Amino acid sequence: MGVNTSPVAVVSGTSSGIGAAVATEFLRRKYTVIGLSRRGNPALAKENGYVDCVADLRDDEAVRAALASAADAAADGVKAVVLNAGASPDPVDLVKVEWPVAAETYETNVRTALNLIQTTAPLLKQSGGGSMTFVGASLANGYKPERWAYAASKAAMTTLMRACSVEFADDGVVANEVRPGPVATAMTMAGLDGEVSDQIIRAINAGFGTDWLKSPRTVAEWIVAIAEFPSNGPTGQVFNYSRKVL
Amino acid sequence: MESKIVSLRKWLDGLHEAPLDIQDDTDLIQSGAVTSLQFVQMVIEIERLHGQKLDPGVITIESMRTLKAIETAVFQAA
Repeated sequence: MGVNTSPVAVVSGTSSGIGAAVATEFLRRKYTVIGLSRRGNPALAKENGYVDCVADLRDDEAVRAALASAADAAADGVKAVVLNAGASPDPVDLVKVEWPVAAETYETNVRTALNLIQTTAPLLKQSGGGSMTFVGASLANGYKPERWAYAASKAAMTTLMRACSVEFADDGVVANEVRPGPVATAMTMAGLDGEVSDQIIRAINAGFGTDWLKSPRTVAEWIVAIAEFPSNGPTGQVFNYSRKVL
Repeated sequence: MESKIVSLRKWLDGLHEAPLDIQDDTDLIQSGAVTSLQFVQMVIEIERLHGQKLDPGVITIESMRTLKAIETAVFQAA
């Protein structure tokens, strides 16, 4: 019997944005949260039930070491894994894309996810099943050629999600993807170093007629709801909250 | 010292490589002077020029649509 009795969620990319909001939402639902990120999150680290693990998730050894450092929290296994960490290079004309940039994007987004899957799958099985929830992007459809490097890595994530839904089905694990559409985060809004207020988000939605811009908090509620699907619930699915057609 | 609205106009000009003719009543959104993402940065810039956070009720699309509206809703209202 482990030390911890609350359900455990592992969330990647918790230093800011969607990852931090997802961690906060899990905490609100009385989970213990193991947060993984390269920069850490000092604010969340002060919260009861949050375990702040600093690691470069592209490094499989670092991922294993980080989760080993949280062994007490995960002694009875893990119920939910949210694969959120990722990076997006600057847009560039497709004919000018440099392969190292595309390769680095793939390494950052896909390898990070693969490392986390390989490390946490046994922990999900140990707890009798759970969920893997991928934070995807509608851009994966390829409709913006200048974002191809990022889009291609996200398309690979979708394939990885579907593979997980098959591979771990017998362990009671569901795997799904959330495509949140536009979200007001530092990754999508250059220069932003804090949270965009609800008033600004409302003004943008009222004035620009663009695809629905949301706060990370709003998206986090959806992600966690999907992460709580039962083992006989939907799996291998893409939940799209963008107006872009899949 | 230049007025806050002049500073804001310069900041908006700086968003574009080609010069923009931004009048007091130019619709900043319809004209493409600011994108939705730049709108966030514009509000942050307005707060910086204003020297304080804006009252949430002031941040509406209408009060931010033109320089004249911003002047009235934010800088003159201070």
